[in-house]
Amino acid sequence: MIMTITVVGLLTLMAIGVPIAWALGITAFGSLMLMGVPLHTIPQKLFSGMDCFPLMCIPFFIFAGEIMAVGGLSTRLLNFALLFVGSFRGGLPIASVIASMIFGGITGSGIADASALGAVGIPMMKKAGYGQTFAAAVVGAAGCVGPIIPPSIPVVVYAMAVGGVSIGGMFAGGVLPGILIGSLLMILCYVLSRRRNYPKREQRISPREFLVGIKDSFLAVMTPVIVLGGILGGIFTPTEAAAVSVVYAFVVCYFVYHELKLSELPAMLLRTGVTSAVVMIIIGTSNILGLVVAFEQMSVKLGVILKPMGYYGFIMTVNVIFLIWGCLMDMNPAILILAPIFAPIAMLLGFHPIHFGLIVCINLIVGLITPPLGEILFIVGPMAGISLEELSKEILPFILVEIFALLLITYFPFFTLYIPQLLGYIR
Amino acid sequence: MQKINDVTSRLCKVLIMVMVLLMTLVIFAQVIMRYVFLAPFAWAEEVGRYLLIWISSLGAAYAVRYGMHISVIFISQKLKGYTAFAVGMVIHLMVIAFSFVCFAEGLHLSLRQWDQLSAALRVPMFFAYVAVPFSFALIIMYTLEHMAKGVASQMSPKSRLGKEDGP
Repeated sequence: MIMTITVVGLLTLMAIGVPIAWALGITAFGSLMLMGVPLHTIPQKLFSGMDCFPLMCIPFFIFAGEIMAVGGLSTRLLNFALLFVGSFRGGLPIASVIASMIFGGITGSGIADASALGAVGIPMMKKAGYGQTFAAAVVGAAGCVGPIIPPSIPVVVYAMAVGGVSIGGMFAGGVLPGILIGSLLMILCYVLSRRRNYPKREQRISPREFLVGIKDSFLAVMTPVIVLGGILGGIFTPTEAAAVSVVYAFVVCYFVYHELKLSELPAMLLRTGVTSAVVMIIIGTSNILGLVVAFEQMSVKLGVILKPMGYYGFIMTVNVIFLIWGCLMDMNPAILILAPIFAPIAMLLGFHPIHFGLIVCINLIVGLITPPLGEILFIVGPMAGISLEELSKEILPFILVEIFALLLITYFPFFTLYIPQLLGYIR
Repeated sequence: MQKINDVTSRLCKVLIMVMVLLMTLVIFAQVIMRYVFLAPFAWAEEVGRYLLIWISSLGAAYAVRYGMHISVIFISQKLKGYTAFAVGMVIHLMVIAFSFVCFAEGLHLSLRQWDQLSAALRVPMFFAYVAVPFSFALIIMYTLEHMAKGVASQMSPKSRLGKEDGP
């Protein structure tokens, strides 16, 4: 009974446009009242949901992304990639995917990735004659790789919400899926560029140009080496690595590239704080609703329905539910509320926690570029000056490629478990 | 009310900026202390966590005033005129009810934490917990301001002719 009220109430509130953070809180408030739970648990759960050291990497990753986008790091990453693939047909979109992947090794957010590369890549592709719709689709689709290649905000949120899985292990597990999706996107860029006869750069890169280019982009390319190497090598916790990357990005952009002005800093600090707060408060209010979910034993009840489906039936259902959710809704509430319900059932069916966690996260990350509510679409569309309809049509093959990759990742645990095994996260 | 809200939101803004900067420096210093001086601060993690709670609470309030919270606008943006106004008011009232619980119960909770000292810093936990009631008091104020603006625009003669969209 209360379960039905909670579910219907939450969906109704979200549909009529209550901000998601408050929709979660109001639903939890109503349900807890009906259950007769003392109301002081509400601020208590709100507080304890946000009181968590690993979550601190969210503001740091956002901050680092802000600095790198303004400070000229993303331009240099793109130039770096162009040194290697610039003379192929479709070299520019391919380079933009590569740059997105490298940027993904610094940032944990798809939106940060797409906006940083979009600001540089879209005008460049437009100038080279690729057409702005294609440019926006490439940058948007490649943005999804950002949170899959570690570090990753959704992975941190997942590990916090579900528990019993190491953040480092999930990060390691994201490496191969990120490379897989990135490579498939590059192949798609190449095929589309050939078929549509997009221009090709005529002159080759001279060895001198190559060396100068490497020298100019070296410090930028080092950033993911520090962040990723630091986390996967066990030197930093993800939070510390994120803080180090903020300081590193600042030092490089301010002292070496001279493209960051101190006068821009206050606005960046405010944007960082408010953007993270919007995510953090959702985590807090989800934590209140989590109490209702736990009291009502939703996982057990749902398990009765889902467990008889078996391993493959279950995971297919999960894929479909999370893909649809990703099309319609922000990913954080899904990770915070749905994942803790589904994860225990998955464990019973024999999924490895790292494998299942990454399936859920990647599923929702693909939702970042699916219309009608892909957050990345709302960022790259206006950047290229095109409508959501045009962009949705152009990005469709990219979505299909990512869904194909998602299925590979789902049905072959190799992709998510090989590197964690190598690094000793799984014995 | 608008004047008070202008002052408090500017205060939020400054506090958020300072706290984000502080949090970054504290955690970075922690890494340096551990690897270079081999003497980590015991208090860095705690300070960082409580700064994060303050940033999140104040940022959430700031985002209420400037309409920066994530919501699903799929259906609600199709609503027009009086329906949009009415739905908007109901939403605001619900937000106020929830915020009031967080404010009142949160205040009660933080006052009870006065004797409770934090693990590393030995400071009353009150100073961490009070972020919640403080910010929800602001959220109530900001939501009331939105309601007042909504009513004012609904009352204006232009929208009565149905030419303007709702709030």
